[in-house]
Amino acid sequence: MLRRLLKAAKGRAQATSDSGKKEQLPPTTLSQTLPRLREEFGEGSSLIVRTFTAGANDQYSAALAYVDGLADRETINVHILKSTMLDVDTEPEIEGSAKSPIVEAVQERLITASESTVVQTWDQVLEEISVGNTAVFIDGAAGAIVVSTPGWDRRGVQEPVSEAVVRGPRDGFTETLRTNEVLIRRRIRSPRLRVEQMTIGDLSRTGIGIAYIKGIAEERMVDEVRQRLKRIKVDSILESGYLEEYVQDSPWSIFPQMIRTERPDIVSANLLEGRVAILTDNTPFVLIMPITLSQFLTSPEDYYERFPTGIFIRTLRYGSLIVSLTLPAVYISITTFHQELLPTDLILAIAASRQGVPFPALVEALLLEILFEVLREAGIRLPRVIGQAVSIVGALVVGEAAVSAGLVSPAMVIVVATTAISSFATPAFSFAISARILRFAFMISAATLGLFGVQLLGLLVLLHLASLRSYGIPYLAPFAPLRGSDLKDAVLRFPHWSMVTRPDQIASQDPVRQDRQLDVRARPPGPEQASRQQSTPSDGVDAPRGDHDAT
Amino acid sequence: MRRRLLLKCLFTLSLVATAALGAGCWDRIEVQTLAFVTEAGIDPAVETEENPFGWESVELSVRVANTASAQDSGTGASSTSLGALVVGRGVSPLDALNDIQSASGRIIYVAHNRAAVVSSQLAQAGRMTEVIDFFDRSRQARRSAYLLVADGLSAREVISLGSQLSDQESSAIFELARFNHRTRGMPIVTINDFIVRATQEGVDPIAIRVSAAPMLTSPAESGSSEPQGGPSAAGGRQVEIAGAALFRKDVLVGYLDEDATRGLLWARGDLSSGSVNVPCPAVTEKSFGFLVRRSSGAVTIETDPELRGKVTITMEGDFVGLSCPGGGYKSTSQAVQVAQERLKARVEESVRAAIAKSQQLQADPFGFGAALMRKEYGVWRRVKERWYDTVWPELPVDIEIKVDIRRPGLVGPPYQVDR
Amino acid sequence: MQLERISLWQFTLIIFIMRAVLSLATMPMILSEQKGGDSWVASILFILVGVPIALFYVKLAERHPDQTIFEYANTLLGPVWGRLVTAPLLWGFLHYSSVILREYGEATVTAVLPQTPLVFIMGCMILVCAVGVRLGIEVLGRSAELLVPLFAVSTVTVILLAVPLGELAHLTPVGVAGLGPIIRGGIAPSTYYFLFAVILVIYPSLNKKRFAGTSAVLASVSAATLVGLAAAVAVAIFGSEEAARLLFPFLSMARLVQVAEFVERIEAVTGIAWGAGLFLELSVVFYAGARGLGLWLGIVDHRRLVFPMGAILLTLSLVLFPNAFEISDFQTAEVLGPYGLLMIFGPPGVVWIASLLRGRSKAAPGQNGESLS
Repeated sequence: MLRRLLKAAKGRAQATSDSGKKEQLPPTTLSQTLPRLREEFGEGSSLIVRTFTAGANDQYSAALAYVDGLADRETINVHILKSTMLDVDTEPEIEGSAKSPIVEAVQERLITASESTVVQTWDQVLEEISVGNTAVFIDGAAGAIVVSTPGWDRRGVQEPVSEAVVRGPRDGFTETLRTNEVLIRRRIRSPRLRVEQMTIGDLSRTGIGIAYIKGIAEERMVDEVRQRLKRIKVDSILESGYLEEYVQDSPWSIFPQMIRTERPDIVSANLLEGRVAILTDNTPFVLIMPITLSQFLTSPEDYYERFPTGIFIRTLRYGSLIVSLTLPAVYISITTFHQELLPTDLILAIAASRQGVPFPALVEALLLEILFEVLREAGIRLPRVIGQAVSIVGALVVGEAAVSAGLVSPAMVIVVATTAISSFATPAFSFAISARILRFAFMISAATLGLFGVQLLGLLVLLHLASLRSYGIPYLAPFAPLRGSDLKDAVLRFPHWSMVTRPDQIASQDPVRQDRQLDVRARPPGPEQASRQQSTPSDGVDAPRGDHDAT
Repeated sequence: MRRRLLLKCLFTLSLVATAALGAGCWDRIEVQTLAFVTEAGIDPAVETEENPFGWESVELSVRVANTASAQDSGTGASSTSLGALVVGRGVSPLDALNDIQSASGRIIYVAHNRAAVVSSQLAQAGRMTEVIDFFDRSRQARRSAYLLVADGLSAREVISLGSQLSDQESSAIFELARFNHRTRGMPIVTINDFIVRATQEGVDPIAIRVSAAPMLTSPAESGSSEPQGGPSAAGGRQVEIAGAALFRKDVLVGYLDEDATRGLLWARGDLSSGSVNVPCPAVTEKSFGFLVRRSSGAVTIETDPELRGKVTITMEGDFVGLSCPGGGYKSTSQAVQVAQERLKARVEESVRAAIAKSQQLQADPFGFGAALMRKEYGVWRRVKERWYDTVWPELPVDIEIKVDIRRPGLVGPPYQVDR
Repeated sequence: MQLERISLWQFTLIIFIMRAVLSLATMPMILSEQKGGDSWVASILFILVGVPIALFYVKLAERHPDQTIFEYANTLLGPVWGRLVTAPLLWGFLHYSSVILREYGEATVTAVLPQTPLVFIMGCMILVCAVGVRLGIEVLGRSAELLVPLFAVSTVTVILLAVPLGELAHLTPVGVAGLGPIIRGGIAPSTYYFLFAVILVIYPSLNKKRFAGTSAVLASVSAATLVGLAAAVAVAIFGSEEAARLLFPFLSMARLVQVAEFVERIEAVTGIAWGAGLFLELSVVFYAGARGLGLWLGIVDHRRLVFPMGAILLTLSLVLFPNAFEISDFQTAEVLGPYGLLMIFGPPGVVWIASLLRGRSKAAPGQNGESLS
């Protein structure tokens, strides 16, 4: 059903674009061109058309057109109008010739904007105007000069809201593709960083950038990404989430198979490990692929803080993922199936706390879990101040009242609260949400067969995870299949100087990320190590930087 | 590809759906509908009018933990958090449990039973099999529960009197036995220990002996904490752990007193704590206390030239009480040496008492037989038949004890007052 | 169909779990016949039995590295005789997996879910296994990399926690009853080495075949060591007489463990570890059966056979034994011994002889070349 709808939309989009495709822009007079242009953009549009005379001695009458708000007026004023109208008095007159038509001559000699082209079709003209460029027409000449003048109000580089860190850079991606690219380039100052441009969406004409580092990312991988993106034929891409659903490996899986982030440092780190990023215009969220499960439990801070911290925090995260997935299920199974499993005093306390609770444990757990999910959702959508009020009312008032009214047991409140907190410990929201959904399935299976049911569902989930691949990379790597060297950066985070190689299979083109000959570990200065101190550490520090510059 | 995945999803969904919607929750029991048994006592049923022929031969008394205590139920709550004592009768303990169940609004759940008290009459009559099987076959019951033999009172009274001891613990008897083990060197015997020893060749099981003692606290105090009436209220008695009950295989043959029990446990290496009071060298009415920190013991047997048992004990510990007059010794270490000798003699005395008593009762809780079996299987096979009758009761036993008093505590000799 | 690949490590883990899980279940078989310390001696003896069997299968598979036995049997013996010879193997996979399934069901019903119908428990398990089998050996191999360590670590943890409960004295005397009972008690559990025959099916999927023999032997030995250790600890705790009486010695052992008054009642750990291991074992045997049947019938995609075969398996395991007592009757040296011996060596032996006569397959081009099929 949905697919059919999509197909229909696609067809329609194609039909509209076909109509004006190959119509040449004939040598016409402005009096013909300008009404046509106005007609194309419709009545009351923000299209601005200005006629003026250009060249020395007002040689030509010309017109320019742009969309108000999309184009930068300053550029237009200085580099088109001023340069063609005022600064031309000393110039000789421009002669058009067969080899170099008049339009090109004007473009070459008079337009001072850095980026401009000559286009010959209506279609191109309309498209360029739509993206914020300015078209210049010259009376009686074929073709139009398109000057790149995009300039609109854009959000500045701000701290990413959804991925805050304590230590680490504070800049985040914005809605502008170009800015985002620059943010990455500032981190990887190498010409090997490639950002391939393409446009997707027949109507939205959304700019897409495929970023990778040549020589590290596997060609096959980049090619695969390119191919998958090219296959998308849709009218619009409004956010990278649209793309994600088109290009992931298993469309039916509950687990995300790409990371989305608004942090340039995360993207840069992944590019350096040989992964590919898809930048989408109009959204700060960048997609990274291929990824493995362990990356969803990684935060940039793991790398910025010293490694013992990283190890501790990551271990904690894995633990809390398991807790957030199974704790309510385990609680339900133990209280309704395996009461013998807890120490006597503990089970007696739980039994006492459940006295008079009218619901079975499953219903109680579902109620609280759903309440919590609703609270979370309500809190996100509301302005921050009201959001807090919601959580106070929800958590404190409702929770407290429910417990004292005997509708739910305090033990269950503790369990649900612990689960909620644990689920927030997963840095990747997209992954945490799949764990949350699965949690309900676990709870139902626990209420059906106890721990046996939890185990069966766990095995099913495991099988599914083991069968998932993200662009050919097994989802559970480096645990299954086991990749010894990659385990250094999975549950544990080894010191930077010990992570010599890039991830296996992903960066097999250029697997070594640091010179393992040089021992860059700092050593306390000692007499017998003085010579070593002088040579190696400085070399070690310099080496990577030199490497980057050289290539 | 997609269809396959869809199919898989459907399968999973249908599995979950059938499971959840169908009669799926066969074993589901909400925790608040359970009555947790924390202590169980088994007595032979007395003949009464309803039970004229002694047909219902077993009386099972269980303490059901009071899980309503945490809820402030307001009116009419019992003052103690220990639950009610419930009694049922039947041809077997299981039957008696069903009897209890028939009168209970909640499901009787024995997985959290922590202490099993057996009446001495049952144990003497060789009916331990019934008791053990009850705690052994059911998937609920645990073998890690303590096994106690009620001496001089019924198991029901033990459980009833136990409630005076503490109103905080889920099982007062369990805690009583545990703390007696730690501080007084009384045995800890689980049902599993009993089974393992009873089924093994050449070793006999013991159980914890629990008996009644006159109450030490004033009646007024205890009266307030006495939850229910019945026979216990009048008696002014309390339960105490008083040594070990000695079995020959699974028949109760007698008891070891506390002193002999410690001797037995030290010899077997089952006791690594506890304190010993030893009369002072010079003034016997005063004593010093020795707190055992570490202890190990081993039972071995010599076959050449004749069967001869040997008990080796190594002990280590500190002074805890020292009221002996300090004079007469050149140095403290000399005093300690003397104390060690006294201590050694004291421990040996205990072990001797245990050996003498068990030889007299023709039971072998030390496992000399097992030691022989492991050492010389051929010899064991020859003497096996008459082990209990003639060999064990006449077995000479050597005792070798090594005692180390390590530390004096925070002060040196007891303070001296010039009078 | 693209040939799936498993790594040597995954192969090792699969062989390990083939032995380790079942032995925990079959521990009573070893223990019941023994007296005194003989039980753990018996367990250690049977470490050695697995080695020649594992090597036998690997050596046979090495003669035809790119084909399963169901393929080269047909090449060597002709389509009719080849199928006749390999049919018992198919039956073996089906039969053994239904016995395993039934044992798992019985254990769960006895110890955890007494009210739940046996068929439901076994049905759920076989359904999950079927999903795994459909996903293929590659996915099963990857699951093994997570499940086997989970199994091994929790089993070893339980064993270690149980060690303080045991008495060393229970492990002696050794050998007082002679060698007879030791061997007798070992026959029935040893027949489960038939499960190593999955090597004949999964060997072609191995991406590096060089050390397959070594790793199979290592896996077999380490699994048997684990079981020997478990048996020794169980005997140390319960004594040989009582250990022989217990139906699930390992479970009883876990129920006794108490550490620091909080770590107690850890039988759930055992249950989950055992369930996870058993799932893997069952899936791999099921996979071998389904793939074998597919090749036997000439169906290229074995996956469409999985659900029907699962249904047959479930039915078979229900009708094989009317009650739990019959299972232990079946698992005696008299019944299982000759049968198992025939299953282990019969069909592969015939194929090997044929292979000796007709010569081995030509080595595939390249070190790990694609299958010829």
